[in-house]
Amino acid sequence: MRAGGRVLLAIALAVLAIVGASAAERLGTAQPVEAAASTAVSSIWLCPHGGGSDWQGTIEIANPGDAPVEARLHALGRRGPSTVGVVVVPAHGEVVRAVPAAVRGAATAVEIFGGWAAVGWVVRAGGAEHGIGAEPCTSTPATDWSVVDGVTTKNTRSYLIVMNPFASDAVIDVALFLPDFPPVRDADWTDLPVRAGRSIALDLGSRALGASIVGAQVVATRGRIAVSSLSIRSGGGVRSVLGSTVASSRWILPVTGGTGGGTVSLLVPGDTGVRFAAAQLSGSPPQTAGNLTDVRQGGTSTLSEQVTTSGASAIVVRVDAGGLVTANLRAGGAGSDDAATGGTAIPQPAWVVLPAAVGGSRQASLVLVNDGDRPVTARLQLLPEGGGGTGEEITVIVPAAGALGAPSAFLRRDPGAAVLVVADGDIVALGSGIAGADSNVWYAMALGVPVPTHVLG
Amino acid sequence: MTESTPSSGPNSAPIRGPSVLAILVVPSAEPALRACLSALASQTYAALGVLAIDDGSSDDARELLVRALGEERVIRHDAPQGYARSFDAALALPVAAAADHVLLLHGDAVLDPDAVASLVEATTLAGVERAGIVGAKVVDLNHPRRLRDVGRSIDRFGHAMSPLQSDEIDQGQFDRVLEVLAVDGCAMLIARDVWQAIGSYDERLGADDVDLCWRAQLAGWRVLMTPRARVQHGAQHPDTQQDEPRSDRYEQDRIALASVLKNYGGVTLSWVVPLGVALTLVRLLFLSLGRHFEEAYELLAALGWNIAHLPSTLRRRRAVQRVRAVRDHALHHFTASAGLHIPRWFQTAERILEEQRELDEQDPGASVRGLRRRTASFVSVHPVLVGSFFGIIVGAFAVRALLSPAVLTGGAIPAFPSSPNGFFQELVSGFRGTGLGGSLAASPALAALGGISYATIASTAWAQKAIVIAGPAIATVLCYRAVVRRTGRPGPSVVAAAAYGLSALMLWAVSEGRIAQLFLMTVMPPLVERVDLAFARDEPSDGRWRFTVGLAVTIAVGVASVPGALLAIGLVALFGLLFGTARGRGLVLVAGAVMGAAILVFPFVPTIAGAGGHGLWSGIGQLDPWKVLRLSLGGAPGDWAPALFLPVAALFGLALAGGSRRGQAARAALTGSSALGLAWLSVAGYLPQWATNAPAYAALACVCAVFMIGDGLSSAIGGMERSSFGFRQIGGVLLAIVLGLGLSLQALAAMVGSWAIGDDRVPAAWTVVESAAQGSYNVVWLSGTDGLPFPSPGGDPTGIVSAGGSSVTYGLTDRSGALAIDTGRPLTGSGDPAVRQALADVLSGATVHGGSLLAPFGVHFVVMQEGVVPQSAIDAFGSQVDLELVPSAGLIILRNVVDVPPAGVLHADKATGAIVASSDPDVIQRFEAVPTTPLASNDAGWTGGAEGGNLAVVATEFDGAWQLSGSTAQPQRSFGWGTAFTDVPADVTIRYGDQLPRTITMWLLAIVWGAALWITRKPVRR
Repeated sequence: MRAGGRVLLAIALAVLAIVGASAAERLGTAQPVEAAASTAVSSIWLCPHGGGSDWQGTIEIANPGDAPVEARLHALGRRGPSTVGVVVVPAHGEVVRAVPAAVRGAATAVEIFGGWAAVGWVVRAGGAEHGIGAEPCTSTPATDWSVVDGVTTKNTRSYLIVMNPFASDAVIDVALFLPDFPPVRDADWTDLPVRAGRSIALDLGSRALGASIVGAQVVATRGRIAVSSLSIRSGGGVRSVLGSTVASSRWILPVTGGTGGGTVSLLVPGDTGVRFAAAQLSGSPPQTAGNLTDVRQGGTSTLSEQVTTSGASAIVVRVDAGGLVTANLRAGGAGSDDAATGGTAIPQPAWVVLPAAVGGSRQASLVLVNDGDRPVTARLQLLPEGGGGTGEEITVIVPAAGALGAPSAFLRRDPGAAVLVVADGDIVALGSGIAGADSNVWYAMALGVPVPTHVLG
Repeated sequence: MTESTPSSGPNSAPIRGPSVLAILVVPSAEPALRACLSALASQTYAALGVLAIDDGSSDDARELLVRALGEERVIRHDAPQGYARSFDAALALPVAAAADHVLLLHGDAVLDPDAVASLVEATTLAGVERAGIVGAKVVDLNHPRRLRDVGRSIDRFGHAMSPLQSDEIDQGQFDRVLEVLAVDGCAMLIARDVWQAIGSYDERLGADDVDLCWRAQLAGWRVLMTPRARVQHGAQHPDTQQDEPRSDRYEQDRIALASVLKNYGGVTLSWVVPLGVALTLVRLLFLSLGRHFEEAYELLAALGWNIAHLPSTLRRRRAVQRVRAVRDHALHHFTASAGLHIPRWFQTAERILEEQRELDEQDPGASVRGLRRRTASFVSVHPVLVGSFFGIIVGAFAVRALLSPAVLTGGAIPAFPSSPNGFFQELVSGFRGTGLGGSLAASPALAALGGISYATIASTAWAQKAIVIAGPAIATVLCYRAVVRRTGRPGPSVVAAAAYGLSALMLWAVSEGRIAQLFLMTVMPPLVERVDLAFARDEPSDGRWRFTVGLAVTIAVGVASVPGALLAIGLVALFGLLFGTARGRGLVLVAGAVMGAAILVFPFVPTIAGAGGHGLWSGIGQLDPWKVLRLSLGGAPGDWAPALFLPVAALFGLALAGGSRRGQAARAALTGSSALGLAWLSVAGYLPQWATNAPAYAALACVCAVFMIGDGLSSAIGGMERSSFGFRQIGGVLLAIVLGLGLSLQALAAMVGSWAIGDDRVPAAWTVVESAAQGSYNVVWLSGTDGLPFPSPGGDPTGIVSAGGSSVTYGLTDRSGALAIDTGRPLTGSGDPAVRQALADVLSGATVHGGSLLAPFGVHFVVMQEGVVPQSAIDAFGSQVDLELVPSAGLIILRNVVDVPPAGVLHADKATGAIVASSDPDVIQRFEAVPTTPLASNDAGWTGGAEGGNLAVVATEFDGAWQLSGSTAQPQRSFGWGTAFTDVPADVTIRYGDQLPRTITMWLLAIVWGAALWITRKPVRR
């Protein structure tokens, strides 16, 4: 190679290095290969249902998949965890299992192996207390929870149920938010330990008595927990609301099976106040919910407003300005019992709606809410106890910006069955149940459990 | 004896002084004999007589002597007796006893005319009492300006030490009478009282001047060297009657030890001998490691001679001690350190500066020119010394933080076993004692690590430091040798080697304590140079066979440390094949060497080749292509923009390379550029797993760049002043500027930078967690796929789990972290896919029972570094119900709730037994913690009490050779890959029953290495 050639080669290599490095910078790393489908599928469901003397707790597990799954149930309370049992949930079926609920802080953890299943709870008060409460369990243990369903006025006691099914102690800070007062951060509820494998109940009335609505924020500074609210009226009435791990600017609060009277509650956990409105979705065109038009609410506070609903419907809370909120809808039942739901901020295309009432002579209802701008077609299939399904399914069309109740004839085929809802768009599903007769009518609502996309293929 | 006739001289008078008898011993009629006799005849000293001994000469020496001195002054030995016996014979004559002094004179020593007078004069110098022996300034007979001897000292172990550099020029620097321990015996004046008191030479040691003079000193006489007496002396002759002379090493060690045993007092001997034995062992080790087997043998032979002659040595010792007049410490100022000989060029440099200061005072302008010229001259004459001087200064500053007694931690430095035996135990063990077990062999590199550990007084902690500190220095020296072989120019080679030693890659390897990478960077320069040479036009100078075996040894060392070195070798060979001159020969030689290397590491080959070349993989590197361009693979001192000097200088070198260096520089450029590109592609994940190894590619690129610099500098410097002004001059200046700035800044970075390794560099969070956990357990370390290592002490990733955006690299270690006994050895076998599957299951988000899935591997903790692992992966692990977050700062540490030790006996019910027997992750995830009694590991396996347990489970790859002592139970496969025994007895001992094949293998390996090293041994100097 001649001298000129060497110089040219050196220059060429220098240029190549610069161009190559620039290109490499732009190119970035190779796209990693996706993981192969896992053969190990499992999940855990945390059910902070609470309880009381002579209460009955029930865990419902519904399997929408094609293969049976195994469920391992562990009861939590003041003492360490105990295994309730192992059950096999048949494909396209449901299993209902009684669990201990004799203490106020009772909770149940359910491990699911071999597939996916939806899990929910129903508690039925006993002794001097009457009513039922129902909610879906959560599969996402978290550190930050908020719930706004506490009432500490006369005749009502509200509790926070905090469960820690894990092997390490959790430490929590609890802040209570009130309509007219600054937040309460009690020293006893700061750095409060929740021992491993235990569940506790915190009486909101012991820290904020006489409040028409108490919002609570529970932050685990160590460990992971699940939180719910349990409210009991001495005249009869039990309601459960699973806490929320997120705050949002939009909440969909479905309701069905009640008398039409209800209360929308809002928690603004941040310092920034909000301006919000609420609309009611039903079979008719949307309309304003109660007086909730352009409402202003200060930060770190709660608010509750009466609303009236008609049949299967939903209240949609929309924050127009300010921070994020947590919402709740309390609905009155036919008897003295009431029900509540924390709703959801995220509509999904597939849901499993678990029975909200247990026992004989029960009635079920189901509402599908579509807050989108085009109609959604949904297929409904029963997942009965014992599995196998009914083999029949119905199809309904949920109007845009509307709500639709599932045909009662369909639900009457098996009022104790879970319902699999699969839609071609995003919707929200909620079930309610009425049990009992005459003066002992109990009412509960339970939001459906969103089905992950991979479960149904 | 006859007194000589006084002869007239320029400044002498015929004055009679003490009588001197010159005893001339002539082994043969060399050309110098005539000059010697002539010089004797020309002596100005009057009282000089001459007695000649013809020591069995076979030529006309006797005739010359008789003609010059007369028959009666010549004694004839029929057979050669050697100088010592010849002198002894002469001293036994009455004439010797009659002379006041005898002058022992070799037949090839030519005295200056006033030499004898000056020697005698020195005995009577004022203030110098008891001058018993006087020697002359000895210069080379053929090159009289070259100094040969100006007096000698010894080290503590009796080895003679000369203050002279090789071929040092006589500039009058020693022109003063010096009191020394010993003088050269080619012309040595000895007072009669001296030789009559201490005797003559110890004939067993030949004419050893040091021993003779040392004994004179002990008897209270002084030994002087007078420069006024100058002697020109011919080549040294061995004073022996053996047919085949022994090596210098043998003679030096034999004589030194014998002298020490005779001459030292008892107190001194009490510490010199044990210390000498220890140092001899170290020397033996280093000689063996350096393939100087014959020298090692000569050393042993010297020891053997002294043992065999101990009785006669003790007899002579009694004689010496009987006339002793001074203590040993009175002579300590004549002894030098055995290990550190400060080069005299320091003094030369000082002298230059001193002279310059004087010149400055006279002519400031001329002084600058003079200083520049003299300094340049000095640097050009002694480039290695200058480079070494600066290297020592930079190195001393750089490693000062690593010199504490504490064990080095931090970075990616692997933990060393507590004793050197740990390396050898793992090497010869039939099963792998780390990771997830298996029967694949450890790297032969462990033998080297064990050897180094023994060499550092059996301290693995010191071995660790020695490798980190000395590794770069040795790599730089080997790089220098490779470049100088390539270019033939020491100066440019020193600069090129300095660029290698201060490259970002080298500093990164040091900073992170990358032992294996340091080994690789040590062998990479000779390796590339040798492979390149195989394809060159000229045949290897040491013959094809020896060349091939030598290259095989080099490749084996590199591959044993970093198996990925094969990729670099392949790349060099590929370019040699494409652009080399002798492609066929090169291919044959390199292929032969690779096969030879495979034989040299043959037990290790399955380990490397297992799992589709997984052993070649390395996930370490840097994604930023601009940093890769400057050969930086991670954060470290020197990982900054100035590190770009190396590739820039390499390009200048390529442009400047001329003559025969053009082709090799161009080939190095293409090879290095390709290696750089492959290094980045490795980190970025574009290469198949077997071809992914950024550190190996980067090391190759670094060597290529350094070779290009050497080629360019060699071409630019040679004859620059004679060529017309043009690119060569401009390019040369630019190259000098780039190198000057780059080396200076890199040196500065190394000196002031903070290394990742040091004392107590493990993250505090891990230290707290690790120390709080009891017993044995394993740890899964996770990192991102962008080339970063794990937080200390996790070391480097051993594999990658592909999970889309949640992909991570992983490693599995015991609680100590990365281990040196795993050097070059990846996580292989059936356990590795299983652990990868478990991690993939977790990352997929499909399971929340990652703890149960990891429990079979004895995993107690999962450790990640914040900001490094993808958030989706952190979330996936955080959502596991049986992995609990441990509060810790900087690290994400998850504790596995399903706690199963790496080896233990489970109280297993039927359901647990079924899970253990299953290989289905869907079943394994149902595994729950049950009461377990841990088993302790030992050299042969595990042992402990069952404590009521019934199922022994060991997190080691299933192998039918595992046995449960005291039971007929056969091993069963646990969790699809591990080992389990049912129905265990109360005392559980699990041992490996297939050790014999590995033992045989290791003996074979030792034989193969012995043969290879013998073939490539360094010849001894005779």
